[in-house]
Amino acid sequence: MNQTEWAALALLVAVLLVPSASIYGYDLWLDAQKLDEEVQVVWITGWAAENGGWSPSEITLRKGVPAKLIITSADVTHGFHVPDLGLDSGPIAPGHKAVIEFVPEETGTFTFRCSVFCSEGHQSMVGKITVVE
Amino acid sequence: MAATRWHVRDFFSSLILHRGKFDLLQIGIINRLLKHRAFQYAAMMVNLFVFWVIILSGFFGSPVGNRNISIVFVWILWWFALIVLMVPLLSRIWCTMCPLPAFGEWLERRALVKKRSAFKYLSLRKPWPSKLNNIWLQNLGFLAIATFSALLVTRPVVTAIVLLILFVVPVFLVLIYSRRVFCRFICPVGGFLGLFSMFSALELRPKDKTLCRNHMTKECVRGNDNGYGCPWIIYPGGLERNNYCGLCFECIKTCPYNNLALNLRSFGGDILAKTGRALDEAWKSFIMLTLAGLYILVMQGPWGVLKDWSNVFWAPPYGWALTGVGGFLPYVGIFWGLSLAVTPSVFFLFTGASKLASGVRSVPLKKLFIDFSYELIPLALMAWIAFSIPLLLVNWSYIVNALLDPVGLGWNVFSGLYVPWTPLIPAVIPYLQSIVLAVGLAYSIKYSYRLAKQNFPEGKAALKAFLPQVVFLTFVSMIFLWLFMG
Repeated sequence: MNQTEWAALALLVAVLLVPSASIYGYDLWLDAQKLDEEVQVVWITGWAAENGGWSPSEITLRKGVPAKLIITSADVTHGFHVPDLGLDSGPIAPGHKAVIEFVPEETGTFTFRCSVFCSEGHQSMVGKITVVE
Repeated sequence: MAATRWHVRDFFSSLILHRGKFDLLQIGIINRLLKHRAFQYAAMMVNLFVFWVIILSGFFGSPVGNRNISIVFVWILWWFALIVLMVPLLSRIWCTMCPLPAFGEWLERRALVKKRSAFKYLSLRKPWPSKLNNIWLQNLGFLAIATFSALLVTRPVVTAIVLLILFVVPVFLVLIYSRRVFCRFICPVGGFLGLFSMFSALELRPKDKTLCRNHMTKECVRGNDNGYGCPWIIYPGGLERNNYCGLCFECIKTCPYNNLALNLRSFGGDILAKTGRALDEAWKSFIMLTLAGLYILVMQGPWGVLKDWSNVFWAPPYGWALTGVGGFLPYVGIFWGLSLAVTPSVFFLFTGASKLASGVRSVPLKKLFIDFSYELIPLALMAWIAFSIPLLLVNWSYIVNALLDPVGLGWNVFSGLYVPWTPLIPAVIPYLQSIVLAVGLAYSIKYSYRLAKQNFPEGKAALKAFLPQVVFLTFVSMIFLWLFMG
């Protein structure tokens, strides 16, 4: 291969690698932030029950470690509500996000559900937070 | 400077006043650019970068369509640029820079930029099946993708999967069949690009066909040290229509006589070309015209139930989500039935009326049916343009936000900057759409009469045959007008 071909190949590799590395790097950065701050960060996406419900629908947190729940809505307006922990995001419009920060202080399983009537399957839009030692 | 002024004057005279043709290759910088071997590679690389970001974003970014670059860039910005700007003005210029077949082509040539002087193609080079030497696969592929368009334009991951498939398929095809068989016969976008490019204001043509005919070595087909033989499997020296020329510009590089011109011309220049007319292209017209109406009805109309019917997907444990297949199956039936059967049948009746009205028995009905179907191209193209106008005017803010945060996960490149959803001149949009449609109708009527004259050159038969076509075109336009204005 001559110089032009090598340069073209290098550019091709860069074009494929730079965006991939950027997104992977952003993920690593998010993880690093999590460790630095000793905060349990969990992203939760709300889909109407017919579209799959909460994702993830099961979350495990450690007792005594600050938690940061970042909740987004993917289709219609949802609300994130954990009655037993006294957490409520209020309505979250599609594309917007709500952040709830709290410290889990007792172990156990706590049900979370959607607090805004979102579809016919609204009642089944539930999930659970498990707090472990 | 004087030469430049001359070029500019000719340029506008050709494009706007429809006075003759103007060869863009007369402009030195364009000539040098298109003959440079790195030109197509560079154009593809820009789009490869964008498409790769789109695919990554589709898989790893926000699942919210209007927050994810994969939906916003592909189905708002790219679509608008393609159908409103590129196709009418620059023919298949998108094919010049489309990255989808790039990997296959590079693999087959074992080169990215340079023309290798003596080498063996990395391909079995099997002949493409003769029965598939048409655009039926493209017609059906486009319909199939369009059937699931509600998913495609709202779920980033679906767009990413489809794009990934469209990157992989050409690689396998090129290894078996060689060259751009994917672009020619499979690509769902290529089919309508080919059809609508007949209306375009740009064409690549031989300057002197006799020279090409008498030129024995035909480098444009075989290739030489300057470039490859036509990857689109056509003979550039005989080009009369834009349909299957992907503007890769290899023939400009290989022609030893500089006998190719990249002409600006009047709109609709190919519609009267008699070569290549066939049923597959006729059906493409019917599909495109029908789908323009259906898209406006489903995506921009006030009937939410149609959106629900189209928005079908499997979501365990809920099964077929939202309305279930109970709504989707009738939707598919309407979609395919109208496109493939109802519209062509109605058009057939009007064509029959044209033949009866003409009083001429010698012209076969099938030929009339095929020939007149080309009059639909301007109307169908303008209907698609009209459909695309609100996409940009209403959703432009999504494009800005997607640029600031391409994957929609809160990167926020320019911290804090967020453009709220602000539709531009929404009250004026139906009028803009109506004007665009009226332009399409005027062109369709103009070409309808000229197509009638081709078939009935003598007496008043052409005028009599033309009248039922005008009724059909006006009837279709009234339906669109109702969709725009409500």
